[in-house]
Amino acid sequence: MKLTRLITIRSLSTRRLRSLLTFFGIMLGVAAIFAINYTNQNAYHSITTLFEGTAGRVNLEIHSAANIGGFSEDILADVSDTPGVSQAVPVLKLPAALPGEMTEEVDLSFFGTDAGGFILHGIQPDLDADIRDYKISQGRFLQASSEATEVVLAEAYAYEHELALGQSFSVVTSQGVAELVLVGLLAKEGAGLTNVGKFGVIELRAAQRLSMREGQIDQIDVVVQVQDSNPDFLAEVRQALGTRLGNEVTVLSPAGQGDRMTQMLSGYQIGLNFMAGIALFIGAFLIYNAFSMTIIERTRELGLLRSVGMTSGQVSAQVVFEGLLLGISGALTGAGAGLLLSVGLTSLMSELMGYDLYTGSIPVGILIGSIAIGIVVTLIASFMPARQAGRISPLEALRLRSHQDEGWLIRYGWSIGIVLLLLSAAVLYINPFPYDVQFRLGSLTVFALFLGAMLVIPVTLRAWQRISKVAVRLVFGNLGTVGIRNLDRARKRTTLTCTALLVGVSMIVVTQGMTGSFSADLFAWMDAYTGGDIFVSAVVPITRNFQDDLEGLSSVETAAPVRYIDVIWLNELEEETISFMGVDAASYTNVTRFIFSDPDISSDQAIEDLKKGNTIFVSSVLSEKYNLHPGDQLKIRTRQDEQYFQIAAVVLDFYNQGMVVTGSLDDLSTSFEIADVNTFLVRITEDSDTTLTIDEIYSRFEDDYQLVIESNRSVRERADNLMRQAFVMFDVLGIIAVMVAALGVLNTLSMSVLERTREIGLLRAMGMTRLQTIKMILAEAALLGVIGAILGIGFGLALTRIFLEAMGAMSGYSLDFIMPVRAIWLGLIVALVISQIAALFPAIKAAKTPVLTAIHYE
Amino acid sequence: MAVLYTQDLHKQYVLGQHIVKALKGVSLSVSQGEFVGIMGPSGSGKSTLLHLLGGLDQPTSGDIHLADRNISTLSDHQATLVRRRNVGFVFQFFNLLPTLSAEENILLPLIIDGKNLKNYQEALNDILKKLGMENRRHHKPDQLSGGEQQRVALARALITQPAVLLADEPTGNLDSRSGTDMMLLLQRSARQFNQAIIMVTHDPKAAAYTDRVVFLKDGLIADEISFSADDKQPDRLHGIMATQERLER
Repeated sequence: MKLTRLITIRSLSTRRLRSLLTFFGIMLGVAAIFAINYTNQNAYHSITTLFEGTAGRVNLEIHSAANIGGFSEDILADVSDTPGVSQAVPVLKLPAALPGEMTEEVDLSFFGTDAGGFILHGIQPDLDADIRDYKISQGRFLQASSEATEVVLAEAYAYEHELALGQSFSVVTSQGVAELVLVGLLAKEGAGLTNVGKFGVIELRAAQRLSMREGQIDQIDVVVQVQDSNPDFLAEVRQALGTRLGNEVTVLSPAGQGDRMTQMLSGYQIGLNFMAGIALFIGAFLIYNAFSMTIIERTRELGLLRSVGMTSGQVSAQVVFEGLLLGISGALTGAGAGLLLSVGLTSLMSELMGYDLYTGSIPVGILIGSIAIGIVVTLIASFMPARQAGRISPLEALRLRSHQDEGWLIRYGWSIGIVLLLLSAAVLYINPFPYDVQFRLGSLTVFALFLGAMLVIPVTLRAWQRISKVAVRLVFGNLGTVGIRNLDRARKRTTLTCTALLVGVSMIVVTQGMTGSFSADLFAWMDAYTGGDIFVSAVVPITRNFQDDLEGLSSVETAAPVRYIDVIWLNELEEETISFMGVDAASYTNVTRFIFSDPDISSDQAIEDLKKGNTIFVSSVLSEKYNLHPGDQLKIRTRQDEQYFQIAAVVLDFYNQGMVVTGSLDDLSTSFEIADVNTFLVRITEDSDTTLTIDEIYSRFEDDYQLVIESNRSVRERADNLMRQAFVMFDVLGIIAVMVAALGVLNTLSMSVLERTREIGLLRAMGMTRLQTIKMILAEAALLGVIGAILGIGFGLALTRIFLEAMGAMSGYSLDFIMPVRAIWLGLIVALVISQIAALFPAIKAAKTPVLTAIHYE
Repeated sequence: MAVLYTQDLHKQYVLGQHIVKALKGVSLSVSQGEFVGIMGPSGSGKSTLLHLLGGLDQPTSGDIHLADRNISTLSDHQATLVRRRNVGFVFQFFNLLPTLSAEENILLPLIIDGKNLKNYQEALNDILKKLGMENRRHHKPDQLSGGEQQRVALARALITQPAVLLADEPTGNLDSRSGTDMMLLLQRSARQFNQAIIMVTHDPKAAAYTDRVVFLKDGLIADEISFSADDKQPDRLHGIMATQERLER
């Protein structure tokens, strides 16, 4: 047995190129899987740590009924008295900013825009420290008897703004400027992570005074008596609190908040996982191909081993052992490469989410999992060639290369292929899966689709040769047509290579197609969302009258105030938090426009309706997801009660993932008691300059307001960038898939050339030059590339349409299919270029082989 | 008129630490229309000689003149062009491309040379007719018998009307009847097409169809027998075997 292992190791080292190819295939697949899972874990971990840390041991949260504004602290006593409640801790939230804290840009992330600033929580130090983990890294925590001006800030925020312990500094709130003294710093954990670290705490009374909200609080955190958080008990307490406190407040579970963020990410992550799966799928092809090749090449050697008494089991074991060695080494290196890849991916995700992701210790489970997947896939892929090797008869050592039998699948598999194609296309189109298993079964169906395509390829090879003959002759000359004849010599190998290219190209087309369809709508909306010329955003909400100040400037034509708040929508099934965009319809339509889903709708009428009040526009996402139409009503919890808003129109709006409605600022003020605004869209006069106007606004209002002002063009450019970044990862995986496909082409052509060494020798003897030899092999590769590209483009387009349909049905994002012309060209060029580059090495090698060596090659 | 001649041809190889002298000074001349057999035991240098004559390898010293040109010191590219236009090859195995039909295999040298195939239809039909392959022209190699395959290989070697046709054991892989057919075809080709043919063979029966047999031993020409057209086959065979026997002693 030791000898056979030695033979295996020798075989690996003598066939270096192929060993390397297989090794790379495994490595890339494992790296992709590890990196994606590791990054996903980091993202989830960051989000959950964030919410767990900031929520502490809190079981229930009490907010004002509409989730806006505060309520009287008198309720606190009622809460404490409710049976089952162990602790009730009040919090008052105070948005604030440092005077110098002005950036040139609005922060953009997946979750919208953020003008900066930080949040101050007014707390009762002794109570709060009981339920939340405040870890002081320097100085001390607030004391029950703290001076009113004492503040404890999150460490990173203090460092960032160069605030030293003991220092006195000014903060700006909606009520003006106040002086605070920094007495302690919070470590970046537990409560220190609140509001992604832009956070500080002051004494409750001080907070009330600063915000001029004496006797008011925003939130009560409740800890129940039984700490095993028995869900039934918790529900009972929640019920009791609800009954006792009445309509003015609402009792929520803190756990729900993190869910929304993770949900938003999950779609993106599932997409990435799917791509990684495809990369591995192609990787498995490559490995199978490489092993089949090794077997063909070693037929004589293995036959010889059989003739000297090695059993077929021993021969198979040898091949499987080879697979094991490659699998282990490839998977281990892949895990290392994946670690590097995940660094890039994590920083990309951080960028998208708008805050630094936690990168924990290397997750052993994921590490072992991805390595195991790599090894198992390699073993499975080497199993069939191993069986084939075991069947080699001792006679084959003595025979000259015999014609290889084509399997049943190659000859008759097309019928199964067609059934698979039809079935999977139908399944994808109808999309019968329930939501939660959709992606898994959907991915399986996509695999079935590719498998079907693969089974059909062999019977189409002749047709491809016939169709391409004239073009090949034009490009590569007459010998090119001789070259492409070789494709149906080993149809299995050709099929595998074409399929690998097909999958790679279709991934490019799907990614680009989806991006294209997304961006068309997204950009239209982005254009309206950041309408006008200048985007003015207030760190701390400011009065609506600022509109007059802005319009008072000679360079400003119109300024449209906008205010976003979260509201609770009471639909039939549940309470859903959605965004409410309050606008002043008159000035808003002067600066920008609404994009109505229904082109026939009377936009003037709809805008008039909005001005009248109690009317809203819903986003197309909400409309499709919840089947909402103009004329329907939405029940929203307001400050006093619940109120119905009539839907006047459906508009394109992707703010907060499309969970948004638009209403008037007047409604916001009457129903939700919110009179301030946080954003102005500004249109400047025709002869004014954007930069000069921005400077003018700064210089005029710098002292009074905390503003972040940016030209809309720059906001749009950055939003555009952000979106492209989101798709970069898909591109990276597409490239990995294409790279693996390229390795497959290299593999196939090396094998094809190796098998034909004598034949090429004969052609060379007959006077074929080296250049002609190279061209002949390149022609063969070009046809491989063309088949892969054309099928890949076809499948890519079909999948894009199917995905868009399915997504519309699932999430409400109904997007128009836009023919990705660029992607089609890109796919074609990538497949052709890659196949030519991959073919170059075997072609040159063939051309360089001395004629005599080639003729005598066996 | 000599279409091919060599002067004092030497060829040596380095095999590991040994120098193998395959040819030690061979001078040979072949005329147009002449059919020459080269015989000799294994290792006598006959294949080496054939490869040098066909421009597949270069001599260590000495000259080879083919169609009025010294081909002993050509570059790879020049040698390729010489082979393409002046040499036809018939090998023992793997003579045909399995993916091409008989006709396409025959036309292959013209395809390689970038010729307009339409101009060669007549020549193609003529050759197919003379070799009795008219009905098999569209068949793939795996649909042809060994003898038929070798006839296609012969047709391919003749289509360019090369200065010399080199055959390396052309009957080595054929049954005796196909072998005899093949030899008759080669003989006829030499006469009908006025074609110079040099054939390396182990088989005295095959060699008996040639006009002249050159015997190599240890890299040198050890003997030579010429036949006249009137010599009968058994007499030729006897002469060849007697010479072989004598040389082996």
